[in-house]
Parts: sequence; C-alpha cells; structure tokens
Amino acid sequence: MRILVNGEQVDVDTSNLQEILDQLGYQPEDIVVARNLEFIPRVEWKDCIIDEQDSLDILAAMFGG
Amino acid sequence: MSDSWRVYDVELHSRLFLGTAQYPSPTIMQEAIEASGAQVLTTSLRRQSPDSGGGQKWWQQLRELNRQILPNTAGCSNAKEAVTLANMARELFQTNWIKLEITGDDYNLQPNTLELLIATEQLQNDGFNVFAYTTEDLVVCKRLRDFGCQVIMPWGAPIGTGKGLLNPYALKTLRARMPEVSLLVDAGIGLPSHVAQVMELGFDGVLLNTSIARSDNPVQMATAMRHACKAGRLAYLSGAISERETADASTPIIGTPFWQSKKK
Repeated sequence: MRILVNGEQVDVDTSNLQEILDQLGYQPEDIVVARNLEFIPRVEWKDCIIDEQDSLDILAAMFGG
Repeated sequence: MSDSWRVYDVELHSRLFLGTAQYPSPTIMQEAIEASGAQVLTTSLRRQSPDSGGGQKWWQQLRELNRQILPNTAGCSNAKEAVTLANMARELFQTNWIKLEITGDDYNLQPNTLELLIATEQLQNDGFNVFAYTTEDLVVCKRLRDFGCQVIMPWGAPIGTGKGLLNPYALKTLRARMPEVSLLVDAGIGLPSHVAQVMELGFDGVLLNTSIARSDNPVQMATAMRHACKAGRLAYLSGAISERETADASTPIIGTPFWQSKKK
C-alpha cells in the first residue's frame, strides 16, 4: 500500500498505524502524528487503520521562536 | 522588589520570553537562556525522519533547563492547520499553553487575524491556554479577549526585522483599553532600547529570539535584554513625567547669580 509520509511517497505492507510507525523506525515517545490533517492521539495508534494514499505528518520537537 | 505575575496558572518572576531558534550552538543557547533569566521558552514541531535523532538530543537538553515550554504553531496558514498542530503540541510537550501563530502573508509574515480568531475560539473551548500572536488591531485584540484569551501578543514589527516598535501609538492604546489582559510584544525587537520602550508602555512582557540568537554575542545580548526589561518595567512602575513643549529649569531660579547683568 502506498501512502504519503511527511510529503514523500512510501510503500508499507500494513494498514495499522502503530505497525507502520514501527516499520519506519520511529521512536513512539519522540513523535506525534496527524493523518490527513487530523491529529491522532498516541493511545489510538494501535487501533487506527490507514487507507491507500492517506497522508501522515510525523512531527517531533524542534527549536522555535 | 518582587514583581511576580501570573500567566494563566503559572507564577513568573521574569518578563522576558525567549525563543530557542537560530543560536550558533545548543551550548550558547543554554547560556543565553540562563543570562536572560527567561522562564518561558518557545519551541516548535517539525517533520521528522526516523533516522534524524539530533532533534531529540536538543529537546532533551532543553528539558533539563526545567523551564515552562510554550510551543508555537509557526508555519500554519489557516485555523484548521493551527488547531491540529496545537493538539499535536499538547501531546508532545505536555502543556495546554500554545503560542498561536497563523501567517497571512509570506512576504512580511503578518499574522492572519481572521483565521486567528477562529482558531482561538476553538482552542480556548478545547481547554488550551492561548497566547495569541497578532497585529496591533484593537478590535481583533478585544475579540481575542472575549474568547477567553488572557495573553495577547501584538507584533512590534515583522518577525526578524529588528525595527523595534513601528506603531507605539496603537500599542499604547491596547494597554489603555485592555488593562485586564496580559500584553507582550512579540517580534520585531532588535535592541535593548526597544525592550525598554515596550516595558515603559506598561506591557507585561516581551518575547525575543532573533535579536539575541543572531547577535555577535548572544549571551551578552541576553544579559543586556534582561537589564533593559527590568529598567523599562521599573520606569513604568515609577510613573514617568509628561512631555512638555517648553523648557523648565531644574535648578532653582531663586538666588540665581548675576541675574541683574543679564540682557532682557
């Protein structure tokens, strides 16, 4: 299944958000996730099903003004 | 003299808020934060690839400073994006505080006050404590206050310009018309004298980043900003004299020597 991760096309072999994040190698405590501009709380990752061409934004803490 | 103040549910002793971007190194950033005395630090969220662990090291260093974190929504261009990012920030940084920043123009980075109002109303209803970055528009600021926003942060000048206060009259009007709201100037500050001017107007604080981080000596500039903030605040509390159009000698007139010989 092809999805967008931070604007890049990525092929994944599961539709489960938690498993996708694990496959991509993210540390769960460091990130937060939005799907198609909707925030997905961490507690919902294991039950969240991602569809073909969904767009994930995976964000982390950064310096800012 | 104690001059603490409450920002939402937090008591602060410093009136400088500090951004964490653009410093030459994390070490210099840490030293500048210490020198400024700032208790509130702004942060952001950015897209992260799994192998870029450097950002997390930086975040760990910042956490060790034990300051209040104020995440921003920089980069958002509408209310929908800003609300989503605010929710992500709340989970990541574990705070209800959010510096709500929605850009309306890519050239001067002017806040989009129309979208700001929409997002502020929603976020306040969702339990956030909004710090609204806006223009000096009085009517917009009054509406933000009516939505329950207790901290309003008009710009002094466009972000990063260092031009100081382009519209002191409007800022003075905001202070006079909204004494119950915490007002900070955010953006446009270049010099310690700008900080002092903000505080002399009776503002509650100043948010700085570029003027310190991109100076030749950020730690020393942070010290200068700290003193300027204190000086301006003390001046405001002291009650400055009113301007006059004519001279008024400060030395007593009575007993002036040689007065008979002066030409009339």
